[in-house]
Amino acid sequence: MGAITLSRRGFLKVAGLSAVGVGALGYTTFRSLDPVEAEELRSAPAELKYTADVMCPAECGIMVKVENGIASAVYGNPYVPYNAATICAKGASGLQMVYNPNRIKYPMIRVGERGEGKFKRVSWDEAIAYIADRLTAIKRDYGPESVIMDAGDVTDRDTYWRLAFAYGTPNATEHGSICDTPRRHGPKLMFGGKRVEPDIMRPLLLRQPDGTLKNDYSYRTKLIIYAGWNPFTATRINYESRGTVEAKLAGAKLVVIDPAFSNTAAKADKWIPIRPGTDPDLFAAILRYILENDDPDDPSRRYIDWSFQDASVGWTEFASAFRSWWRKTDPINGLSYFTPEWAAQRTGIAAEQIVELAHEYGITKPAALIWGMHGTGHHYNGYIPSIIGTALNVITGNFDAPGGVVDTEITKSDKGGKATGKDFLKREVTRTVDGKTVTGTQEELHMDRFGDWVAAWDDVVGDYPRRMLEGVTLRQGPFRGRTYPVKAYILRTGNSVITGSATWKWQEALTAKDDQGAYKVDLVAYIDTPFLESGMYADVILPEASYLERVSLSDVYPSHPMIWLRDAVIDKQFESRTPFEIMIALAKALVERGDPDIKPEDFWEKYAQEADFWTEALAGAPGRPNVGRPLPYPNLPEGFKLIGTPDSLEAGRVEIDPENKTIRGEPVTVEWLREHHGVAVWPMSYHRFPGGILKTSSKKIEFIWDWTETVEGEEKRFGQYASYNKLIEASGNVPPPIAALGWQKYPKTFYWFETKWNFHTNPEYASYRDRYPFQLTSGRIHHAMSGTQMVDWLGRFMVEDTWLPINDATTYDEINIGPDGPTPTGRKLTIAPNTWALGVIQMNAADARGLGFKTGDLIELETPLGYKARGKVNAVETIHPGVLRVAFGAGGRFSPGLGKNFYFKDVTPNHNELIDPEALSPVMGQPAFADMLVKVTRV
Amino acid sequence: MTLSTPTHDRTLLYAVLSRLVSYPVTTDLLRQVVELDVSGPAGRDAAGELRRMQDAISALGGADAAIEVLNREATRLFEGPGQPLAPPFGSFYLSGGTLMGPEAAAVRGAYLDAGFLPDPSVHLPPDHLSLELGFLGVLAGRAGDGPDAQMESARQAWWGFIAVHLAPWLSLWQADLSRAEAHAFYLGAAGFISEILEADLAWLDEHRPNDGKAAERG
Repeated sequence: MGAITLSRRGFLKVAGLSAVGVGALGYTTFRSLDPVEAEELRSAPAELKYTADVMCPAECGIMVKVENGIASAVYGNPYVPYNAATICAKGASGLQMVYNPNRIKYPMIRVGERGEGKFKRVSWDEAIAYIADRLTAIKRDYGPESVIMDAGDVTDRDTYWRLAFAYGTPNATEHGSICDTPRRHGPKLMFGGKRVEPDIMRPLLLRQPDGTLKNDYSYRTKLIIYAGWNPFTATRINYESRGTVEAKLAGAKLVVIDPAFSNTAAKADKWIPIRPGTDPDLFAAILRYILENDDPDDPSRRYIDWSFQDASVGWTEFASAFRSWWRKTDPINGLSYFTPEWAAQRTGIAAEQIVELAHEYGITKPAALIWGMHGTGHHYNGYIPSIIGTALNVITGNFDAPGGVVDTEITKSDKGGKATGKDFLKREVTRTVDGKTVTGTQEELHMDRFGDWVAAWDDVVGDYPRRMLEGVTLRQGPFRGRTYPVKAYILRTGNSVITGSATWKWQEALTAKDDQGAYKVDLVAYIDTPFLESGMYADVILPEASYLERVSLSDVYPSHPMIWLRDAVIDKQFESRTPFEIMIALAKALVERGDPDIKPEDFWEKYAQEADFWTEALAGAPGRPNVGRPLPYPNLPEGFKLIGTPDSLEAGRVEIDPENKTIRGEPVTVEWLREHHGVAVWPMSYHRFPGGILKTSSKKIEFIWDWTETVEGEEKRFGQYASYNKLIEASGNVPPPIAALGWQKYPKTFYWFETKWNFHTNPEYASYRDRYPFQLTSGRIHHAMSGTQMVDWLGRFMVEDTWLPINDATTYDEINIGPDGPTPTGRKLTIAPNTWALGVIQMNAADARGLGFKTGDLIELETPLGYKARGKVNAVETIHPGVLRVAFGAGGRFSPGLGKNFYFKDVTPNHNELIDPEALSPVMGQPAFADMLVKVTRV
Repeated sequence: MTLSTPTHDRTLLYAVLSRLVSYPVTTDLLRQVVELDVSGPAGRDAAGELRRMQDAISALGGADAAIEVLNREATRLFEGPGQPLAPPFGSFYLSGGTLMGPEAAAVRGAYLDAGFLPDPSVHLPPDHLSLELGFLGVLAGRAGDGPDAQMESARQAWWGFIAVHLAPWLSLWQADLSRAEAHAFYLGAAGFISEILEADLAWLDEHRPNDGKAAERG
């Protein structure tokens, strides 16, 4: 019954079809499933899969519920102690990123001018060929060093670096120099580390005195001081928000020093408003007070734990250099440097309060002094609070002590290893300089470290526009005198046009043309999942698989060795490809074009699949010595480097190499991580630094950074600045940024210089006080600062006082970009008033009253250099008078790929439209994002 | 029992429709469109929509010349980067402007119910229009070949898939194309797809099993 009753009556008939003709179209086929398989798939239960987040740079361990191949919910991974089952709004809303219709779906090639945003879809073969052809020509015509690989702000950049290093450029970088290099500078100099964080990550897998291992949940900290650090809103160190609350519940006191009443300040016992850019002054006053008032014999003034000297070098020199300033008089206020009264004049904090704070910090143990990235670091002299803060934590006995501070860089697991390709940097290369053939290593061609920024640690992204426009001149090393242009900029998961210093300067550099009308930078490639502003300037766009669709590793700043897996928990969407696949495709294309440096055995012959690459990146994990109290592995030799899975080390399934002082257990692999909830956790211990965990040249805490000792009859140079100074001594070329300070080389110990664009501290700017009366600072709102602006849920709630739903009732023409550039779609978008959060300008209410402004008024900010930006006022009591604050990277966003925020680009302030592009901090090139003076006018 | 028509034609036609919203547009596809002819029940204008496509190809100078223009237009309309003008996804229209929403899961379930899944090489959400049209071709094939029960079941599934998973949003998608002032070829393609599906829906409603209708009424 049924089928034979079919009638053609009423059936719409089609002619002209033939099976052969249609078959030639190559349409999508469906595969037939046997009934059992179909039933299994249909009735398959939801699975929880373990992976790592990338909605913000915290990269928390997460569990994803996957139903029928579709991710339907995101939870915190309870097995990753870093976030310990927690997840924030950003993480929970990740599916709106992964499944966003605006994500980049296919490779694209530009069809208009850069910046017009005109693209057409192409095949992967075309896109890869486009890039490979240009890389081949650039290498031939200029040398591989003319290519910059900027691998952005996600930690799984290893594949891109490997490709770049193998290709021959040393200029493979990430976002570091626009992030927190000044904040890290003190730990770098003194520990060989990066960031000190409070000891509040819980649980900790702690070795007990009886030898057992337990997850420890107790909080020992008695005092936390956050200076310009706002973990409740801005930090990528996830555990600090919940850890701060838990520590407080356990009795700790919290003090927040910040110009703004931040979310963190709202949790504090005490909020101390401070003028922007004066943190060095406060820290210096605390250090002076402690040095002057410490009395080992008086329990009420026993500030310093002098045992630090047993594990350090150079304190005498450091203290002497510090004290030398006490004899000087500040031209701004006529007071002796570093006294409470002097600091009060600069910071706006009463001298009595400074004394109280110094005493409280000195006497309370354990305590943690933590300084921030924007607040303290994003200043021309942002290194100084980092150096003083590090010294304070050391001399008060709080470094690496229970409840004190931990340097996460020297305690976290090794990751990357040989997979990252840094061995390629050691290759010998020759270049012609002044008509002579010169030989050196690939890394000695580095544009910054052998150019203007000898101490650059993560390259100088803020200086790239200048280098793109003017080219690179090497001033140090064997190739000094060589010049080369920047001809390719490959940007992966970054948005330098908005966040990498002055937006207009980036736009100028990426669109500049030579005399023949060709772009100076031949190739701009953009690789990402969301389509951000920098993509508008790209020649070619590659869609990268989202964080739920690729394999890699995460290790963001835990308190002890720990590494967790980012796994492909769903299939790749559209034609996106993983970083591994992109690396292999580009490597093959370059080999096909005769690239002499890229070898099959280093790429596709070496790594049969993605997991192989990441397993190699795990080969050195955890890579930390067996040191601390109690010893992490009491049954294994102390001081030996640990390599292997936690279970094999714990069980003693190890090989011990006395010669190399290495203990090797069973290797950590991607497969092992998959079998262990996606994470490896090794035991924690305290008091590790006397055992050799420090990465300094002396293996001690170093208060001096360039000194000579005779070792076994041979003179040896020690200290973190020594290698830079040796380069300068050999070349005779002082890097211009430090020459501007009057330095001939990097100082041996404590130094001091003033910040820029600050009339409270630098007499050079005193004349601006009346005409440009406001200091402008910025703060992060992680969910709103970059690609996550495209996530609709996150656009609906306020954050502190810089991101508020105060939009006007608005009907916009929806805009799309494509082959014709930004074009109205015809759809009308209506946004009800006060329903969509915008970046605004936080202004003290009294200041606003004085100027006749009220919340919601549109105003214009203008700097002494004439740069302008607009935004709405938010007049509140929560900011220091004379200070304005905006959210970093949140305003003026002009990529239609972001969704609604695009429509508010003219009434939201882009902080980087105002920055002085020349204000790069002199040691490492950090843009002085927070050094700004502005005047305000009503629009 | 095998019926060569009309379901056999439909397997071929749905393949063509699927390709109309796939990337890239090829000369073979455009030539196939040029060769098509339709006739059918009164009141439908599939022929007019088909003619609109054919005229558009002609106006562009023929199949070979039209390729670049149409592929760029497909990028603009369906793919971005940035906000696509007329996203060809059921979830976008039925699940709150996102992809892979409940509608995508439901479509995947419909594929599984019929014993099929897209080829593993496909990385599109299951509710992408090209896949849905391709799946109709699969159902049409099963409706014309095999045991009676299978054919009946396929006709019911065919009808149900159009009614539940395509009819609710195709007009919205067409409206987006109109607002975007899409190229006449794509306006014609969308109109042609819509006409075919509406006609098939009516025809299938007449010819699907009575017990399926009863079940819906019940």
